[in-house]
Amino acid sequence: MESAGIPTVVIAIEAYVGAIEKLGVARLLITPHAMGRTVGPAFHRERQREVVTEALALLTNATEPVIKTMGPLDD
Amino acid sequence: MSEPTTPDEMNEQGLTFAEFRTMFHYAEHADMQFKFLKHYDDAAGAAAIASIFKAVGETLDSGDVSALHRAVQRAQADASHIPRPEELPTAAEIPFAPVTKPLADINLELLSAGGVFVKGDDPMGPDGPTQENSLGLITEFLRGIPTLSVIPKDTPDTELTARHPGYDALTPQRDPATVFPLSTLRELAAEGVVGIADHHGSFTGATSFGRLKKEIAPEWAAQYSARDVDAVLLVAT
Repeated sequence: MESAGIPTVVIAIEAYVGAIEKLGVARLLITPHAMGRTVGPAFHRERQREVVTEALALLTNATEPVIKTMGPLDD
Repeated sequence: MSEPTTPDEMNEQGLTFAEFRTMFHYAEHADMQFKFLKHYDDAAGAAAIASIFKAVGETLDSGDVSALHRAVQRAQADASHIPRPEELPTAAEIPFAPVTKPLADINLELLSAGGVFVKGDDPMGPDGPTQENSLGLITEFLRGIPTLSVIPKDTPDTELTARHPGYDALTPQRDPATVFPLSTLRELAAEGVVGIADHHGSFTGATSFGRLKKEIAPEWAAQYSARDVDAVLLVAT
């Protein structure tokens, strides 16, 4: 999509970092969450919002390919 | 002697720890939360289970599930971690498109690999498989062509469901925002933080990566361009 001029940001859990890095994505936000809970645990609205907000910040602020890791769930 | 697959066969033949570890991986007790145990050796598998049991005790006493979540996540990540490639693509090799408008003015679409769709609008048709049945179709999914589910921006979470043979989609069935944060984006849009598109999408990420990258993604990118989408938030599962 980036090749087509569309900026992207990917949210992925730590377990899949190797596979995603291999693809070479422009902006990657890694979350320390369990499978099936990429954005945050079920009904944990505060964490889900924190992750989405961080992804949007990465989308707008990055000026070159970047990988960022979210802090632990209970921070 | 063939591997035992039913409890009776296991009782008759005796169950090794290796057999126990693998029974969660598309076998008798298939459980996408714990399928990772197959990828450990016996010692590491025992250590992972012990760490989860310890967290269960802590959670029972404290009522705080954080320790349990961390233990399961750590065990999944350590078992499932694909070794980081020795030679990663360099920054110059990775296509990069800058955002050229303020976040509040962009037309952002959400695209999730979580297999989310609107109830009653199953991308596999009205007789599409249940989550449980999809586990037996993992090979077909991995060989198939992903179908994009179109989800209107005002769809409430209660109207969404999910199916995915690669992880436990019961979680997004309970709370779609775990892999499809449309409600979170709506909230941020209402506050004027970000502009979001009228429609969003999801597909089942258990598919051919090669075909997805070479054939499908360029098609979807062309569709995004035609809809004047300014940016895409992708969620991997």
